[in-house]
Amino acid sequence: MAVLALMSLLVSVGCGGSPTAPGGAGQQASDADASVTLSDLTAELEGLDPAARRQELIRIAKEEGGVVSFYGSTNPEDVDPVLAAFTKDTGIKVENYRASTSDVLRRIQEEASAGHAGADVVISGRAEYTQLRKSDLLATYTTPVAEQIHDGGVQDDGIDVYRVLRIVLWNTNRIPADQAPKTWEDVFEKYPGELILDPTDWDWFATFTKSYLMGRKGMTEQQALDYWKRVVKNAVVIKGHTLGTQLVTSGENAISAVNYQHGLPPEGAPVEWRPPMWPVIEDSTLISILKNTRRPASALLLTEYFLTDAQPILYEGGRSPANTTAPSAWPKEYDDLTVPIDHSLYEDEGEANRWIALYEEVLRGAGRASK
Amino acid sequence: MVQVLEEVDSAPTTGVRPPRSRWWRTIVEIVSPRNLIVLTGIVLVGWLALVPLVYLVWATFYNGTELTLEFFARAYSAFGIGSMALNSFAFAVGSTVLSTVIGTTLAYLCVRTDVPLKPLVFAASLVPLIIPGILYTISWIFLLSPRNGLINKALEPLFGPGAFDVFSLGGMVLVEGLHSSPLAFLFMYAAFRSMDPSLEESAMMNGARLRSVLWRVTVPLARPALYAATLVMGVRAIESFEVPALLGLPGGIYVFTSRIWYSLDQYPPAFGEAGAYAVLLLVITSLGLYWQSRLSNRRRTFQVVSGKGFRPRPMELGRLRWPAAVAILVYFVFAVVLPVLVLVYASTQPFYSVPSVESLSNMTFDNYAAVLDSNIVQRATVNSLLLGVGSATAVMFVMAIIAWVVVRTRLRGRLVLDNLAFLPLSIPGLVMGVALLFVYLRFPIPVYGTIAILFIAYFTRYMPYGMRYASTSMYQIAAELEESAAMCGASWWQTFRRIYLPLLFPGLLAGWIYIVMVSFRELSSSILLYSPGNEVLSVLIFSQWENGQFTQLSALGVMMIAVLVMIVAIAQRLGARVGVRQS
Repeated sequence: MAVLALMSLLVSVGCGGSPTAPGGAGQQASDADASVTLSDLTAELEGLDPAARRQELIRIAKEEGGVVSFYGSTNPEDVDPVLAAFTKDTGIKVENYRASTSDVLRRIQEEASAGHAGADVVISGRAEYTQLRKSDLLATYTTPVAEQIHDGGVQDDGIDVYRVLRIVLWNTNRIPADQAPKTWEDVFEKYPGELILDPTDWDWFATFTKSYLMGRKGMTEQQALDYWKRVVKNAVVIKGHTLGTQLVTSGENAISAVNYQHGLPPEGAPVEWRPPMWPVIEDSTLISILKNTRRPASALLLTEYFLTDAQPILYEGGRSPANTTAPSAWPKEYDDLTVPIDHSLYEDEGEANRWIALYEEVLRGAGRASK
Repeated sequence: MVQVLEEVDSAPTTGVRPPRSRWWRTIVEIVSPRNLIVLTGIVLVGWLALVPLVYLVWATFYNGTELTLEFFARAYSAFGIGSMALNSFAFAVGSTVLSTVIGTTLAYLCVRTDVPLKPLVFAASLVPLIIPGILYTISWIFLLSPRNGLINKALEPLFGPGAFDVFSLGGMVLVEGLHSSPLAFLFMYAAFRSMDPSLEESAMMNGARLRSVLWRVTVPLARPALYAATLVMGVRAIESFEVPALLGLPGGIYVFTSRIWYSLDQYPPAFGEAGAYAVLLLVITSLGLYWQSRLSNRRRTFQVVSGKGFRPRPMELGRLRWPAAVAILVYFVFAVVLPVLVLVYASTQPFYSVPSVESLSNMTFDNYAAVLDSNIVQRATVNSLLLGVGSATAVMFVMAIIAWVVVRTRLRGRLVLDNLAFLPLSIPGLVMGVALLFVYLRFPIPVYGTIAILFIAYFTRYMPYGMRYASTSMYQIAAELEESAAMCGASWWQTFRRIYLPLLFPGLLAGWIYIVMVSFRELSSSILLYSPGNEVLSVLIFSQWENGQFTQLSALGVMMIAVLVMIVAIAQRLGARVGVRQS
């Protein structure tokens, strides 16, 4: 019986490459390449004003089936109002699959290698966007809306939706204003046993080390690592930004080095993050269209909606939209403090894993939560 | 083929039997209801267990071009593997011992004694199971964190600040032990309910004191259940993720699963390395299972459910009655009331802070309103209920059959079947999810994108628990019952339905309750496999957790606890009417 089961498994699984290789895209992906259709579509819509353009896209989207499928690791509180507004304004329904950013990536890769067109549009973090791009799963597209997006936020197969900023957060009951950190050295050295570091922030660690310790302070890589190993004794490893923010809000820990600016507790909580210090490492989430989509017009419609009408809605959720015409939770006066995350890390897996290993080595020397 | 009682051959024996009638007899025997049912069960279990297993082994030993051991080399040469193994071992042993002692004591008091407050005992024993792991662990952080932990603050006048530290091995053992004790409770509950007390009564009539009776009669008789519980909890502790991540990392304690998740956090995820760790887990699990089945073999020692009628009568505790009740209350307060209160408090706050006059005056029901408003929560609750109840029922039924095959027959390969049914326990949920994704995307039947694929995932994940509950109960049933039924002319199905199922009922019910409870918490496979419209509650909990909405998450958690407590109460009342009557 076991032999029968095994054989049938092997037969059904016989095609496809190694499970450890990312998704084997292109081996069995559908022949559809939405890039071509999208380029034709863009040419067709050339010269139309935004309202007419939208109406035309809605018309074609309805012919495509009136449904669009959207995968993202987005927050339901932010995105559900956007999707509801989209359906109300356009009449197109949205099927939303939501999971962690790495689960979304895995699912898209597996679907593509099995020739299954699951997602039309995807919103993902930069790391996952880079993986999707390298697996040749993204369609190229252009849109007039791109002109409104902040500098550096437009690629040919992905456009920034909102900015992700990581800031230092401290508890104002534990650290009164006159003792608040003014430099990064304060953050790392002034509060022994209180500083929270999160083991998933390897990309922040790499970018910060390169831009601040090696760039501004002129250290070599080895000197920077030695510095880290010295100061990490003052830190405690807490996995999960949510938990880290909770611990700072409740005063269990006084300060956290890396918090998401959009994840701040509500007004009235005894926390502070201003003024932020250079560098504030900035990442983004990007919206892309899948190459094997069978509904390119619907996909383009949703994409443009996310980049325009949705932006003020995202701001109300505490986000910093990428569209420069929309209000932002990130104050404009702090714009020159931001440094983009080092994209080369995502392009070069060897380099990425080198920094992951260095960060793990540093964190091994972290202090204990108890004193 | 399974051995059966020899049929009396009434055909004439002179001459050579024509080949056709021999083939015909063989075919009739093969397609008998018993064999069809058993065969279906075996094929089902084999297929479901092998899919993720084969995928895991393939991912670990094949790198896309050739067979390789490179993933093993990388995995086991990582820094600190030795201390990680030691920590994992200490953590597993500690939490297993704690949960076994607590669960067994509570089950014994509940089933076999006249301790007061029994409904409370039952509820108290199960509630930790219902609370999602993240929430339970975080409540304990708020109770026992060195600086602001509520218990520490309360004890400050006596012991000074930071008397207890949850970010330690002790803290990990405490939280995991408390959280898993319902599992031990359910195993032992089922075992004690089925036990004929005449042996204990004889011992007492011969002058043995309660303590001797317990140690020398009761506990040895309950050994299959004890071993099964120990095995399952040991494997779960080694595989546990939340407690080591949330409590171990800040304390500088790294365990096995820290490394598995580290591998999966690589860029891109290092499945081969994670697989190399998981394969070791599989080996340990198989060894544990082999040990357990050798110890729980078919010796008549454990067959306490025999043809002689019996009515389990509660033992009188006498002077110990009220001290036992007080001990139960204390346990209830620590294991259940305090963590739930923390969650209830958090759910009424806009953000968490140590309770104070000010924060209590800021109480609000906004979080509950947000949860109830959401129709995705309603849909997810219905989906979770359907999947939980559906998979629990299917698993317990199929595993009852498989347990019969493993315990009552001499079918060759039955130990392999037992092993196969158990191994999914040690496959990390994410690997299971990816394996199912891979296979069912290519499956000719359109299972992908429907709720059926979640059903398959849940069945596979909970099969091991079902198997242990069912087989533990099966060991207790005397072989003579089936033989008597056959001699009276009952078919296999009649025997199974009218003798085995009722006698197995306590074990099947316990397993059913357990699976329904934990299925609400299943995340790592569900999140990869669900499709819009098929969301389950755990996926929503995860979204809220990832997006920092802790207080809303607490509200959702409190509501989940309320719903599940009601289900358990209903199940227990229904269960009290079936099976062996208590006097």
